[in-house]
Amino acid sequence: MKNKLLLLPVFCIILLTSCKVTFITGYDQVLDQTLGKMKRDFNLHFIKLSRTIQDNDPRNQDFVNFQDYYDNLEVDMITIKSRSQSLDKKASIVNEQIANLDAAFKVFINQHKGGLPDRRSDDRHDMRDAINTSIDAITRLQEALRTTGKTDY
Amino acid sequence: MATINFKQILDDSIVFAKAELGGTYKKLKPFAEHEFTQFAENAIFLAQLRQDGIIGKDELETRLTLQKLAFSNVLLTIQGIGLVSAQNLVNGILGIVSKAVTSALSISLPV
Repeated sequence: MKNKLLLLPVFCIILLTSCKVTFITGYDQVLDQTLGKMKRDFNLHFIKLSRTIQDNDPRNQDFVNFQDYYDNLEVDMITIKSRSQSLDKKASIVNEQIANLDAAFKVFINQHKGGLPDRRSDDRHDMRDAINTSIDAITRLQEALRTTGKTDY
Repeated sequence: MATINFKQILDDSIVFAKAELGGTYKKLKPFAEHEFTQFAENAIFLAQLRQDGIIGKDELETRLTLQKLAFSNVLLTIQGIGLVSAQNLVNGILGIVSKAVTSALSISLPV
């Protein structure tokens, strides 16, 4: 009986060293909430923009007419980039996602700055989908991290 | 003109993802399949715009870059949850979609 009790700690050590639990400390409440706001703002922006790219007015979609949205977007990007920089070094996946979202918005902005000509057959839904997907993917990982705090759930 | 077989693209992408993700795939199935479908549909939409002469080569590349960035984020989420390499998935699935587009529309997607 005594021998069996002595074996218990040894068994526990073997068990614990055999199980690998990897934690990602990448959840951040402000980041999560700001992403929700950014998604709403972007979709409102896109609804307004899409009205202007399928009509007969070649000027109403000009970038300058949407400057307010892009100014607010820049503020939100500064917020989420600074939040992601303060995350633990292990949160490299979240940081990479934020960098991808930043790059995606830059592509979108440059495309708008370069001109979005009126086209009845091209509603640019692919651009809307891409931004939404970029945000949704980050939100989904944030939800997983908030729920479990670990990667394998 | 040949047509795009969405189902085949999705099936090939799922087979590839299952092989890469192993047991984790079950947990991510609805999310992954929705995103694979959307990515394929958008890549094909852009290829058709290009083929019809509505967009030029540069615009195709720019808008495809947006798709790739979005898809990378999806795969990073899968990586975060499943601890697998996202890059293999990105390259593999881009290859499947690109091959289907090239054979059906004779448009080479700059992937």
